[in-house]
Amino acid sequence: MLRQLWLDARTRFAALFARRHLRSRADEELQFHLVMLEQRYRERGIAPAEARAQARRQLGNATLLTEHTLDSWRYAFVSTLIQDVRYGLRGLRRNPGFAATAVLSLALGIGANTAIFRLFDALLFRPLPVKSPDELVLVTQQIGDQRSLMLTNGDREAFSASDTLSGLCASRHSRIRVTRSGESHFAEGMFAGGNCFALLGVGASLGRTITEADDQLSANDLAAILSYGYWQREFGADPSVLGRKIDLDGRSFTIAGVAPPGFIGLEPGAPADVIVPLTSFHSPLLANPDVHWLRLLGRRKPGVSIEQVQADLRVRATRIPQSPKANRPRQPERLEVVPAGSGFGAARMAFSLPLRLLMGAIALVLLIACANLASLLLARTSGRRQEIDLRIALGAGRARLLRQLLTESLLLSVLGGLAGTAIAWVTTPVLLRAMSRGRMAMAVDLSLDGRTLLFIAATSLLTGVLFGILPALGAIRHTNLAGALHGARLKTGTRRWSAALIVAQVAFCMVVLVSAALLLGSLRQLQRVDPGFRKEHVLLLTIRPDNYKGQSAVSLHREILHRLAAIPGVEVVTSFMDAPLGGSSITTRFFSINEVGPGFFETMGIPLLAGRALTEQDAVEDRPVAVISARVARESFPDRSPLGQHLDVFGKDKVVVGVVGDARYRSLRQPAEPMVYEPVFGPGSYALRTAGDPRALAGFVRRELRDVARDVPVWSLDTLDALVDGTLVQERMVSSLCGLFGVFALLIASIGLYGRLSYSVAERTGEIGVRMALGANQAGVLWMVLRDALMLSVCGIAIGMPLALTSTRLFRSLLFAVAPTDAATLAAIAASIVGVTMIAGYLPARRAASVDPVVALRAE
Amino acid sequence: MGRPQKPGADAIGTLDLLILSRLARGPMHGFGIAEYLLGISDALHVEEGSLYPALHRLESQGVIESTWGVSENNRRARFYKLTPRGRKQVTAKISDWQRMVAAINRVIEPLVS
Repeated sequence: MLRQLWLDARTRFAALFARRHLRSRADEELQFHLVMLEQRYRERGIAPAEARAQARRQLGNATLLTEHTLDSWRYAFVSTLIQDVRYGLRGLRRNPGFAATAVLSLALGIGANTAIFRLFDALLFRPLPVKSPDELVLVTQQIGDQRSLMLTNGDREAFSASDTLSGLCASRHSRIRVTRSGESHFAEGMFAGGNCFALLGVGASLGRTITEADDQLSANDLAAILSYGYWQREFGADPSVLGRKIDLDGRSFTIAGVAPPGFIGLEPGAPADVIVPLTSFHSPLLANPDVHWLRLLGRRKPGVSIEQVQADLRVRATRIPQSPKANRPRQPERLEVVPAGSGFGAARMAFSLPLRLLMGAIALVLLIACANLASLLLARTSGRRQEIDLRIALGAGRARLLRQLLTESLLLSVLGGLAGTAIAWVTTPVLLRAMSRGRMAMAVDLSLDGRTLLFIAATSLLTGVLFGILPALGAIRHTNLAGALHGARLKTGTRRWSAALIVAQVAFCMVVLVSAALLLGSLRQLQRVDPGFRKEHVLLLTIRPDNYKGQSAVSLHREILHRLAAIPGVEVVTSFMDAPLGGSSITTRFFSINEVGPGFFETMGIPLLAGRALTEQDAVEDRPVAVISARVARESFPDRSPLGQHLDVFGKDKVVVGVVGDARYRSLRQPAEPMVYEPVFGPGSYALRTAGDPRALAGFVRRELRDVARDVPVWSLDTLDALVDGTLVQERMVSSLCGLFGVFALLIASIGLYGRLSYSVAERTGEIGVRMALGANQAGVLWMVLRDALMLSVCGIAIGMPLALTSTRLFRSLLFAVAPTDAATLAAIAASIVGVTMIAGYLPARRAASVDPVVALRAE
Repeated sequence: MGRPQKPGADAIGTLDLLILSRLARGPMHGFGIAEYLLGISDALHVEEGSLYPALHRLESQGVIESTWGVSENNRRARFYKLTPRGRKQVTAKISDWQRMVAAINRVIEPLVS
C-alpha cells in the first residue's frame, strides 16, 4: 500500500514538471480523435466543411479538455497552487510599485514583530531546557509593591519538607572571580544546591553534575561545573579539562563536568558560566537564618496545583521561628508561588511589561499595515473589475477565483515575511544590546528555533489572509456581464469598506501614538528628577580585592587612593560601598546604610546641610559616628536637632555628626530613601570627580590599578552619568521604540489615506468637471476633498480615543508623573494626526481643484 | 490521496469498467474505445470530455499503459493496453459489478413482475 502511494506520488510529481511533454501528447491524441471523427462524418456523406464543424462541436472546448486530461496526472491542489503563484507573480510584476510598497510595509511590520517576539520569547516564554518545566514553581515574596525572589535559609529548611513538592532547589546567582595563570576575570556564577541538577533532570554533556555529596560544608574537594558556552569560550572545548583545578574567588575547585549546551542556569538574561555547590558560597549568609539571599525553585508533585503548594508553604512559613534580629517582620500571607517553567529573574521581571507593551504596539502597527494593504487591494481589484467579471462570465469558478486572489495576497505576505525575517535577524541583537546597557547584563539565547520560525510563518499567513480576504470577497461577490463589458466604478459597498479601513488605521494610530507620547513624557519627567547628587564628571571604579585581608587591604586601599588622586585631571577621590542609583546593599527597617570614605559627599555633590562630613580619622580609627540624610533627620528626630544625637545602627550606637541632602539610591521613580552614612576605610569602590570628561581617564585608572595590584581585576569602570542613564534603559528603549512605531503607523495610515483620496479624485474627475462647469470654484473643490480626509481622521480619532484610554491603563505602572488621561497629550496627538492626514489629503485635493472642466467633460 | 474523483465515477466506476473491459480484448486508442462502446449500444455513448481524462487517470494509477502506435488509417495514435495490475483489476471489477447488478435485480424484481 505504502509502496503504491509512493509510486503514485512519484509519477504525479514527475508529471508536475513534465507538463509540456504531457500537454503535447494530449493535444496530439485529441487531434487524432478529431481527424477520426471528421473522417467518420465524411463517410456518412456529410460535406467536408460541415463534417469538420460537427467534429469540432462534438469534441467541445479542446483546451479545456486538455487541461482536464492533464489534471488527471497531478494533485489538483498543488498544480493549481503553482498556477496561482505564477499568475500572482505575473500580476505583481505588472504593478511593481504596489508590490514594492506592500512587501516593504509587510517586511517592516513582520520584521519588527519578529524582532520583539524573539526577545519576548527568549526572556519570557521559552521553557527551560529541563525535564517537565511546567512542574517548576518559584517561591516569591511580595515586599511593598515589589516582588522579591529572595528567601531565607529558614524558608529553605521549612519548605524542603513540604509534601506538595518533590524537591526544592536553592540557588544564588553571583559573579565569581576566575584566576587562570595569574590573570583574573569575572564570570557569572551560579551557586546551586546539591539536589538541583537531579531535580531539574539536567545531566552533564561531559563528566558529571553537582550532587548532594559535593554540597557539604565538609566536602574536601570543591566541584565546579562549566556551562557549555563558557567551556567553549574559555577552554576551547578541551575535553581534558575534567579533573583540572580552577581558582574561583581565591579557592581551588576541581572541574567535574560540563553542562549540556542549552542549559545556562535558571535566569533568562543572566546566564551562568560556572556552577558550583551552594555551600561553597563564601559568606556569612550561609549560616544566617534571617537574611533573604536564596532563590527557591520547587518541583510540584504530579497532580498538585500551584495553589495547593502555595497554601502549604504559607502554613509552613508561620511555623518558622522568628529571630529577634530579623530586620523585616515575617508575613507568610505575602508568600506567593509562581510558575517558573520558563525561568525567573530580574531581567524577566523588569522587561516583562515593557516587552508586552511593545509587542502590543507593533501588533497594532502590523494591523494598520494590513488595513492599508486591504484598502490598496480593494482599489486594485476594482481596477481589475472588468477582468474578473469577464473571467466569471467565461466560467471561472468563484471558489477558484477566491483562492487565486488570496494566493496573491499570501504571496505578498510571504515575501514580506521573508524580508522581515532578515530585518529581525539584524535588529534583535541591536535591541538586546540596548537593553543590556543598564544595570542588568542581558544575554539570552537568540538562536534560530522552531518557535520563531513558526511565529514568522503564522504571522505572515495570518496577515496575508487578513488583508486579502476582504478585497477578494468583494471582487467575486457582485458581478454581471454588463459590468464586464462597460467600464467599472468603485461600488458604494467597496467605498464604505475602504473608508472603514482608513478609520481603523487612524484609530490604531491614535492608540500607538498616545502610548508613545505618554512614555516619552514619563521619560522626560524622569530625566528632570533631581537625584540629589551631581552625576556629571564622576568616574566610578569597582574592584573585588577578596584576596587582600586586614592590614594588606588597608595599605592597598591607601595606595590606590594615592595613585588615583595623582592622575592629572582628578579633583577628589573617595571610596564607598553603594553608588547613588546603584541600589542599596544593606537595608534595615528604618533606613539603608552606606559605608563611605572621606570626601564622598564632595565627590558625589551631595550637599552638607548641617554639622560636618566624615573624615579620614573617623574611618581609620573606626569612630562611632554617622552622617544621616535629611529624611532620616526628619523621621527620627522630628523635634530636635539631630546633631549629637545617638542612633542605633545594627545594634551599634552611633553619634550623628552631620546631615546631608537626600540622594536617590534605588530608582528615580521613588522618593529618596532614608540613608545613614558610616565611615569606612578599605578597598572596594572608588569615585573620582574629574575636571574634564571622566571617560578620558578610564585608561589611566586601569593602568594605575594594574601597577598597584595585578591580581585584582576590575569589576566595573564607568561614569556615574552612565550608571544613572542605565536606570532608564528600559524607559528609553520602550518609549523610543514605541515612538518609532507610532511614526511608522502614522506614515502608513497617511499613505493609505492619500491612496484612497487620489483614487476617488481620479474616479470623480467627471463629476468634479460638472461641478466646476456649474460654477463651483477651486476652493470649494479643494475643500470637498479635504473634508473627506478630515471626516475620516476625525472619525478615527473619535474611535481611537477610548481605545487609547483603555490600553494606556494597562501599562500605568510604566508611567511617571504623567496621567494616562493627560488632556494636553491627547489633544496634541489628535491635532498632529489631523495635521498629517490633511497634508496627505492636500495633494489629491489640489489635483481635484485643478481639473479643467472642459477636458473632464470631454473625457466623459 | 486527496485527489477529487472525476464526476460521473460511481462506486464501481462504470466508465473505468467499460474502458478496462475493452482493453481486456487488446490494445486500442481512445477514438477506437469510444467507437467500440458506441457500436455495442447507443446507451453507452461516452463523451470525449470524460474519456480522455479517464484514460490518463487510469494510466497515472498504473492500471493501463500507453505507447505510440499506428492506426488502421496509418496515422500516429496513442494505444492503451492493460498492465498486469490492470488485468487483475478487470476481473475484480467485473465480479463486483455482477454482484451489484444481482443485488439490485433482487431488489427491483418484485416491482417488475
